[in-house]
Amino acid sequence: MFRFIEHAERVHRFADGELSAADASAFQDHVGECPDCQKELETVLLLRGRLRDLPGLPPARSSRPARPAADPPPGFRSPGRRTVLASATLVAAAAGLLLVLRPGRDIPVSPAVAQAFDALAPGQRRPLVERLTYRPAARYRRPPATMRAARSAAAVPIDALTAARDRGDVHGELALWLWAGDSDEASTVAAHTGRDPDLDNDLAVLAMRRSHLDEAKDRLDRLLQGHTEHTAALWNRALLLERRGERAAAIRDYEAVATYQEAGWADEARERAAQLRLRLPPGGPPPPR
Amino acid sequence: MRKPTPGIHDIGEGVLQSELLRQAGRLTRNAADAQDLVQDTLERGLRKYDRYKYGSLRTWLLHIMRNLFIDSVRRRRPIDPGVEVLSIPAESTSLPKWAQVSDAALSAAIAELDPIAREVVALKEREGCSYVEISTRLGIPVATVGTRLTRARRKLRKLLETALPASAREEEESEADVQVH
Repeated sequence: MFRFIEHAERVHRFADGELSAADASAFQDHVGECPDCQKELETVLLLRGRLRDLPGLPPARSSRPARPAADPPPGFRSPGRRTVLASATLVAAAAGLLLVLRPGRDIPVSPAVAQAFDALAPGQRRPLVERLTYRPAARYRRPPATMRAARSAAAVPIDALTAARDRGDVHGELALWLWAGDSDEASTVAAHTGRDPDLDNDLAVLAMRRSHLDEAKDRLDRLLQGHTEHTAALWNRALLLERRGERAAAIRDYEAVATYQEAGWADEARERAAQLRLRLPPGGPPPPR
Repeated sequence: MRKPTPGIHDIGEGVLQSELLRQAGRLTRNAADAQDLVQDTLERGLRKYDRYKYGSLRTWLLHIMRNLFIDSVRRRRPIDPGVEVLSIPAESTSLPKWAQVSDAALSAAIAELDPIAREVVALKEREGCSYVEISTRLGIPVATVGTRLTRARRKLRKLLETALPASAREEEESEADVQVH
């Protein structure tokens, strides 16, 4: 049995995210039935809101240089779930405001986001067979061991998600959801991204994951018209063509990727092309590029 | 300089959403559930905006989030009829009176905290430090950080409750009585 102050302290630790996963889960089971803990949770959250808004809250005497600003760039509004944004957009429109979203190309990758990509790729295997261009996901990792591994959705670490949002890193958030295998959440983010070749590639991956192959093909074709050496787009178009049974065209794209000699990717592209070649009808070599 | 009072268009504001998401993550411990909780909070905030009377939009939304969170954990398990619970009306969006005191009253309450308690609160709520960071900055054990924060917040709430006019205190107490069933 807890003394009351210990009991109360558990609530504060929970609200501060300082309990272990097991203790937090036990607390979640408990709080619905405990008026004291509910009141204590109210104390933490409402004080937090008031103190954050208080203009005169004195700085800590042991202050160090300020952390990087959490505020997003001017005009940026971070994406949320579809209806939230729809509501926020309506409200903003009603208030005469303009929502402007931009890709995250120049935004430094948060360490929490980078760690999340590693954590979601155990054994240095990428969870997707497709190629993403967001930096922490772009380096070569071996393909997923099984199709199930490639398709099962994983939990995105909340720290990574909030870190991406704090920086206005829409591309990072999109890639996180894709990497975790959650196409629904990725779609919500995708609806509010800007234009950028790397982002277009990852949006094509999202379309592939949702089996919208025509949309993915259009997006990749347009991207490759302007950026013929975009190897991730070539890779993804090869996968897409392979899925559509257009083996000769897929072989061409894989072999194009191999010519760029990127570590890991070139070998896997050659291997995929060789495998496809074995499945071509006799006497039907791929037409020359 | 005083920030402008938030208006309805600030409900979808990016930094506020990030803060809500971070808090929701601490409550739900799961990114997808946290997103849902933030979505529900913002939706209710937009729906009930006409009831938002007080200047701290953040506090009001955190209040809604707390109520929705407790509703959600209750729905996860069967209700034990032998347990007395506080009733939180699903549509409740009213802040308790102590959370509606003026900034001046809140500043006065902070000034009454002892210096170490003030420091712990400032490091947590102004700078967003974790317990480990606070422990390092102040040279105290991590376990002590939690105890000091708990005591400081409880004292602040008590000070704010006593700062209310007697009539408001009585009103709040009677509302609390009605809610227990």
